[in-house]
Amino acid sequence: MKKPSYYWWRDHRYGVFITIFAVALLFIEGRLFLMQIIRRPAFLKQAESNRLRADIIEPPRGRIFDAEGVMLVDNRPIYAVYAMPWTIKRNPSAIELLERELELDSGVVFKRIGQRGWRTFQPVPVMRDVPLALLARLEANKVDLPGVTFQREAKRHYPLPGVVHFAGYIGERPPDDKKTKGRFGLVGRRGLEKTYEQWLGGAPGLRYLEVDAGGRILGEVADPPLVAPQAGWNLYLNIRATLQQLALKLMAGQNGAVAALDPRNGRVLTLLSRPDYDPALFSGVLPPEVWNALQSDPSHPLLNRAIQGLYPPGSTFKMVPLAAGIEEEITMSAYHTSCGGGMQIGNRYFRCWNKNGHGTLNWAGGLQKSCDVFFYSVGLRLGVDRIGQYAQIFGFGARTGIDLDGEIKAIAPTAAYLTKRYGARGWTKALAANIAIGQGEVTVTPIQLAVYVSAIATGSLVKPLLGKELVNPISGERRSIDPAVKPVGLKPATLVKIREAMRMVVNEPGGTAYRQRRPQIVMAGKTGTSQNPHGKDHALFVGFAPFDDPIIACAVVVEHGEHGSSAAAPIACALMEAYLYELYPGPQPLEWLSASAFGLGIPLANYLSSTTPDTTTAALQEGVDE
Amino acid sequence: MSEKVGRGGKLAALDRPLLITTLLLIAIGIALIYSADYALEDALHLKKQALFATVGIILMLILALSPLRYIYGWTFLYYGLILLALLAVKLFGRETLGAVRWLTIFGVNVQPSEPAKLAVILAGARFLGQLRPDELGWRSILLMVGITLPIALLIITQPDLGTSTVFPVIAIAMLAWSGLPIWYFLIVALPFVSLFTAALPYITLPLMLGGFFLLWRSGMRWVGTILMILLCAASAYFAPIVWNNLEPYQQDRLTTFLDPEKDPLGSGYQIIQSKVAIGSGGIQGAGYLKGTQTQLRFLPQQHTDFIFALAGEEFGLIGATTILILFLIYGWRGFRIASRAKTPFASLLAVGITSMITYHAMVNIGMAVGMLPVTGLPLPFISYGGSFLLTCIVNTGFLLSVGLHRRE
Repeated sequence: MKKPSYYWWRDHRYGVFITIFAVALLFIEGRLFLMQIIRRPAFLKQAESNRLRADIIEPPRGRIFDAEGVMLVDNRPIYAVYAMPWTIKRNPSAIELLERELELDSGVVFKRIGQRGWRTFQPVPVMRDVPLALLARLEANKVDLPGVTFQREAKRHYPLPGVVHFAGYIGERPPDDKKTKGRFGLVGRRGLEKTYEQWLGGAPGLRYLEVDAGGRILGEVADPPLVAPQAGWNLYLNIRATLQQLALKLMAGQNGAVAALDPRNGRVLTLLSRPDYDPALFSGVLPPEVWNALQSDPSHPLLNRAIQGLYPPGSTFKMVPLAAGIEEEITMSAYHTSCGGGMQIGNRYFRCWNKNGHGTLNWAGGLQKSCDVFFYSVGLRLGVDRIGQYAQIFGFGARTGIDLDGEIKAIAPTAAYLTKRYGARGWTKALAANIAIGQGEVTVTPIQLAVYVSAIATGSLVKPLLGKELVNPISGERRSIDPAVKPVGLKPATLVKIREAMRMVVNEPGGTAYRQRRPQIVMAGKTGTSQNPHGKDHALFVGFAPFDDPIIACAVVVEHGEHGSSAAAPIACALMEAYLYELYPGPQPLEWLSASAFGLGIPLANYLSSTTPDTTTAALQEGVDE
Repeated sequence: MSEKVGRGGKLAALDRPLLITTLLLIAIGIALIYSADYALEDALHLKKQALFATVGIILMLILALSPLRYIYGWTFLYYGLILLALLAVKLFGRETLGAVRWLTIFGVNVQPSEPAKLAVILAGARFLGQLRPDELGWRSILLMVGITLPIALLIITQPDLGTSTVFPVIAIAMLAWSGLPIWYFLIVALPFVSLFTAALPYITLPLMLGGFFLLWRSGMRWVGTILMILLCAASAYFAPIVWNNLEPYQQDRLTTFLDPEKDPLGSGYQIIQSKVAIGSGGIQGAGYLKGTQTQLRFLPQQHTDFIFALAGEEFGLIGATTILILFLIYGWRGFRIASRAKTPFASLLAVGITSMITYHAMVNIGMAVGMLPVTGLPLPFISYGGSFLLTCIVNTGFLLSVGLHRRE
């Protein structure tokens, strides 16, 4: 206590000073030990991720062909502008210049990068399908655009019109999409592009590039090694491009859908929905105003009517109550009704479409002439439940399982359904009469109609398939897509009767499609008109050909076509005829072709280039409208 | 002077470990700068550094052989000149990176804040050296503040927060060395600790309570202790206000040190990249000129502030430890010379110089490994920069001189 403290200090100051310094260095040494030995793997990984940029090599996407190898969807090279997040963030002037040149709103580049995550060293797409002139300008300004890169990409190209609804489109992969995990860039978002994404998309490759802090690429490195991309498989369809083009031509100027199947196996020969949209719109970055315009278009071009359009089937449904009536032994040959133009059910008078009445009819005449009174009485005897049951046997009220996304189930009503919807007292048994003629609660999609008429034609309930085969473009390996066919749950004799009645519709005087008969081939079908509260009635036709050994079944819906016999039947019959002509092009006498509705006497290719037939003005001479 | 007889004997009598350590550090610096230049594909920095090193080593040897009495009389003149130079920087300085630190004299860019460190050491050594141990007290503290404050203020306002922290460190080291009782340091240190009360209350409050107890025990008793508590309360209260008046980049440097990941693209980038470079080096390092982070320039400021990270990446733990050991030897020899010097002036001069060099080394390396905030203090002898290299070498010349002429 007596000794002043500075003496202690002065005796020990050297030791204290050097100790403080040594301890500090010891701490640093400990830290170095921790960083360079214990935590080295993590730092090394981070150093590698600084130095290496994984460059994704997009594989060429598989192309889509028709059954005969006609290309429907192809790839075309385009250029896309990408931005490196870390580099561009440090160069605000580059962002400004880029946004000005690309005519983007300010902040869009940051937004696009933000969607992908700032932490990534991967370049983020800012704009796809950049015009060459703009690209050249950007390239010239490259010095002022650090962190901006250009990449060659592919965009989908569609050589033929009318395929977009089933082909679908590709787009940016949604970040949370599980099916396309591990994929980058564009993936199938709709239609076949989506259904067969895992085949069409192939597998992306990876190439590791060494970059410096400025994002400049110094070259490829050998380690880690390159992962080669695997090309997408080419998809061959059952679709016949010529038939599809013919359908498109026949449907010109009209909205609706056409579905044609091979009734033996469900191969989809034609699937058309009108109107459609330009698929090229979806290959770049779609501007929101274009998307909104498509969405709000009153004609609904984005709707694939063939699988998503809901229509009351009208008289095309009448084979269902007929089948039920035969199976349930109600409409035996002796069962006749007398049509005087209508029928009183309860306190309501139900009209037949023919005000003058059809006179006395049995099941064959009832279907041939499409007599509503006959089916009212059959419907009442069957009741809602049995009609619904038989409708479901034909595949109504369920998805057909076509290889496309977004198919709608439609409704085959049963008593339970009606009670659920209207309450137990909200509907009467008279509803069965209405359902029996395909009006009211029952709705169908065109593809369901095609499956239904196929089932009648062959007795097999098919699953419609667009895809036929997948072919690896490199190895040539093939994977065929097998049809799924199961017998429809009806007695063969029942179907024979129905087919005969449908033959009479087209081939016997008084049939509603008698005007569409052909001298050389026997077709069978059924017209339909579905009541539409929003405007003119929709015209429908279902049919198959040839009658003896059907190889094509077809359903046509023409919106606001008014009469199935005049608007839909000519299209369906021309299509079926053309298909048969294509298949049997031998030395056929040409008279039957020239006698046909559209003067088909020349090869289909020429036929396609002829002028659009006017189906609406054709006068009704022999056939009877319904 | 070189003609005089016996110079060979004098040269041989220099503190050899210190001399060799210094030359090794300079050589390592030149080798590392070559590697950094290699990344830039331009040998500009290397040439300049080599030139300054050559001039510096010649100056160092001349100073080492010169008796200290030659400089004793010049200390205040030198101090005055430095003060004028710093004022000149304020008036005619060249602005780079948002700070005015440079003065152009005869076409050479000089940073007067570097030789200013020597000015404070010399002036402090001369003042404190005149006092007897029992004369140490508030007067000596005020004296040191008086010497340090004008220069520190001129440098803070350049602005150069990092360099200005050196001056209080030098002053405290010299005061402690001359034997100032411990409670003076408490009185000075406690208000500083209390600055962080708002930010880190759980660390600072126990520290301060302990400090107040020590103060009370060491003879301050009630009045002094209560005054001290009031002072601390005031500094705790005003610290957040001062903080809000700091330049944003200064705030950034201090906050990103606490959490560099917070802003990986901004100021945290330097710390992250520095740690990545060092950590990836491992034990042996990537090899000379082979460090990817250095050569691809992911490591920022690799010539200057983060040159230690370059060493850590290319030479690994072995290289980094070698540098640490060399600085430890420097500190050991420096403080040894200080403790053996026979005059208070020489002893204080030596301790000032050694403290300055070792403080730089600690803070710079601590920053590179992510233990301390990014202060922008260069690494002595190694970082690129003529003014600082010359200052360090010239200081070592004085240190060697103290060691040689310790009987004077």
